[in-house]
Amino acid sequence: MAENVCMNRSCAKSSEFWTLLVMGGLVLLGTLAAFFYIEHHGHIVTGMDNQVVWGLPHVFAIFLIVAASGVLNVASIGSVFGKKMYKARAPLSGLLAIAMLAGGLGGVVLDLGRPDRLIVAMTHYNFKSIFAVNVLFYNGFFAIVGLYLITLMTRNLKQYTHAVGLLAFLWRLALTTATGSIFGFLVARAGYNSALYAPMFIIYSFGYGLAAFIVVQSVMYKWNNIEIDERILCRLKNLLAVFIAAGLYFTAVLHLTNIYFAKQWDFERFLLLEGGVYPLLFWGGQVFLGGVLPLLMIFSPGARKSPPLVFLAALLVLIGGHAQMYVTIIGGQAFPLNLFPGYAQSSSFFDGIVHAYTPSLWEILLGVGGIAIAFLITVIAVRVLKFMPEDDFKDIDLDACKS
Amino acid sequence: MTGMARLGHWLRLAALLGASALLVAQTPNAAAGVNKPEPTIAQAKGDHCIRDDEFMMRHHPDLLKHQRDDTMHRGIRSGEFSLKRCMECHSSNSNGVAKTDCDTCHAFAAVKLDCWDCHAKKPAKAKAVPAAASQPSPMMTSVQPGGQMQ
Amino acid sequence: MSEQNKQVHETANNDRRDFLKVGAGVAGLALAPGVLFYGISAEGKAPDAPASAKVRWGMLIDTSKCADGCDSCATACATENGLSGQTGPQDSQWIRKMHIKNLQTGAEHNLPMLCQHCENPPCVDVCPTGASMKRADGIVLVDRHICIGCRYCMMACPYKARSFVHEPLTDQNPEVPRGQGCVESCTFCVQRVDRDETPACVEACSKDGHMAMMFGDLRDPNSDIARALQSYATTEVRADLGLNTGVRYQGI
Repeated sequence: MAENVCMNRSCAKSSEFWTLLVMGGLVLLGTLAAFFYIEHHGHIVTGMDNQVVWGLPHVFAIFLIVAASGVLNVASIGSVFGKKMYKARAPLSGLLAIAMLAGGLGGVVLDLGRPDRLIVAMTHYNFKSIFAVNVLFYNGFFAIVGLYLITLMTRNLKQYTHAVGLLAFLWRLALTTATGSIFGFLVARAGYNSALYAPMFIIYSFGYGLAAFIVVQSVMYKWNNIEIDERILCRLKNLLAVFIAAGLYFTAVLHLTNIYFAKQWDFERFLLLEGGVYPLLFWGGQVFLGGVLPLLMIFSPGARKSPPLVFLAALLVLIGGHAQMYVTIIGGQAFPLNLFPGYAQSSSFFDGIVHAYTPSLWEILLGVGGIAIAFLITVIAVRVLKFMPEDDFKDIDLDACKS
Repeated sequence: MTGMARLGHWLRLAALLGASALLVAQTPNAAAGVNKPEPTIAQAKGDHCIRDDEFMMRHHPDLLKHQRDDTMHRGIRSGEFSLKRCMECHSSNSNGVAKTDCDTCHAFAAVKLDCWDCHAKKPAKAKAVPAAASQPSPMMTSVQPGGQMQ
Repeated sequence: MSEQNKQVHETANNDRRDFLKVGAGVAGLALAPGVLFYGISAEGKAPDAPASAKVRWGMLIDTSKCADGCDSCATACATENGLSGQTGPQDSQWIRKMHIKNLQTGAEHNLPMLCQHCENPPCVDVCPTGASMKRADGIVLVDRHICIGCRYCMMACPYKARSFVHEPLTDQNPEVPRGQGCVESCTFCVQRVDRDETPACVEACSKDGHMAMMFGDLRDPNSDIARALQSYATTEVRADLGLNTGVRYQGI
């Protein structure tokens, strides 16, 4: 079996590889064009302004960063918790983690006002800033997951896999905590300022990461004409369902808490009911497309035998994840800061007004650049190295997956 | 055998790097006698800079950087090595086009400057009379030093 | 003396009054450093002296004197600091006139909103590179040399006091360097303060006869601003955040 199941030079069709590479490369080229255009003209050519300071690039980038830490979970379940089925998927999981993190960070960096000063971000640290701490976590993540991949793929280093895998697991939990805290630590804004952001982002990352893994694995299997084993599919889809449900739970707790606090009513009314695109994206995107619908699909009677259905459910989770990030990031800024509670406020600086945000083509290009980077890294890596999950059914305990 | 071949490869690489380093190190001396183009310090007013040329050429980035941090972070505004002070002699404005010696020389040396993204290429406007004549606002404070003692 | 200073800014306004009464008496005992203390705050600092922690610059705004429709402060700010003065969503505004109306009582107030120069500024906390910084004398600034333009400080500021420079700039005021891709905000006109002048907005407000803005050293118990803070009820905007702002408001 093993000889056929790779996308390596030896067996995959070369033209298809190059097609993928060119596709990804073209998108990245567009991103670079947008980057230089914005760097030259300034952010005036974007839809971002002094009210909505983080826009679409951050939506894509933070989604990728969160999903990157989550996709490593597949490896963790294998290496840390000893499930062999997941262990077979550890290399792909680690690769995707690195690729998606690189993509996410690329997005953030390309959007900086002074991207030429990236070196400053690496040499000047204000350790009280969760952002600076994140820089360390991200760099460390590359190193640790890279090391983990090496132990996985080098025959005589396999005994270290567990230890490094454990470190990677703990590191990624800390990393996602820090990523969530980027919002959790913002004391000023109604939409943020909650310790719940850290665990909630971890749960989100579980869901988004596993969904991304399922999508990539499905494509690789399809590409190589491999049928996924029914029991493996069943396991993966049920785990995804648990993560989706947990994500919905945290979302509900966050908003229920806010609804209980009188000072947060205006914000919740805005986000959940009256805020135009934000309630639409929240209910339609995050909750329905990214939550309820995938759950229904996963637990529908035919799902166990239908890889396409599970693939579609995972894809929906990814779409819902982007909706969630948009609601969290843009929605949280669009709602005006309340400087004087109990007062109607107006000024030349748009106080008291819900800020409109319309992304320009440039920032859309910038945003998808992160995905292009992650895509390219993945395509090249699975081409040159062996990342295809290969199951050895002899050692796998695959009994108890019923539905 | 492969080990030896690899070692040989590395040795050759090291030799190559060493040779090119030597070459680079030699270049300025070799070129010193040659009639090479030099940037002209065209705008400079006055006879001499605040230190001798050699010193300024070598140290101006450090001086500026040090001064910048002193001024920016600590509010010390008396230093000699401020960009504003450079501009008093090394910038000119002809037909609305600001030119500086910084640009001329840096273009020659192919070192990119991003100072002008924020800094003006012109000296500060002369203030009427600094400090002494500026009326301390009646609101700022009313007590003279020592006034509290009585 | 430093203990007293600490007390000055840690104590609530009411207590501060009592403290200062005592403090004035006690001052005689600690007078050796006291001479220096008042010297600095009364004379402004010498150009070669670093900003001192014995001074804390602050502002008191009397909203009852702030005229509806007047924006002299914003205009003066733009002139002094080389801002365009335009008010689009992508233009910088370091100070803005706010109009607020109490939703229950209908009471209306005008006030200028600017960087509040917090003692515990969230923008400084969140800045990854340390570009966002607070000078020893309490003035919160952005070091544009190390600002990477991430805008996290703008997310963190409760007062929406910061602006991002969205396009290339030319012809800046030599004393106020500012440029594309960096975040900026009110500096209390630090270039003026360092030569013992008041910020441009305060000067303009006084020149127009409104006298709604007062600038001075909060740590000098004899400064007008400290005396006013002793005598009147004043408020911090978003006092719930505990940031101990350097800008205080009276009449709201």
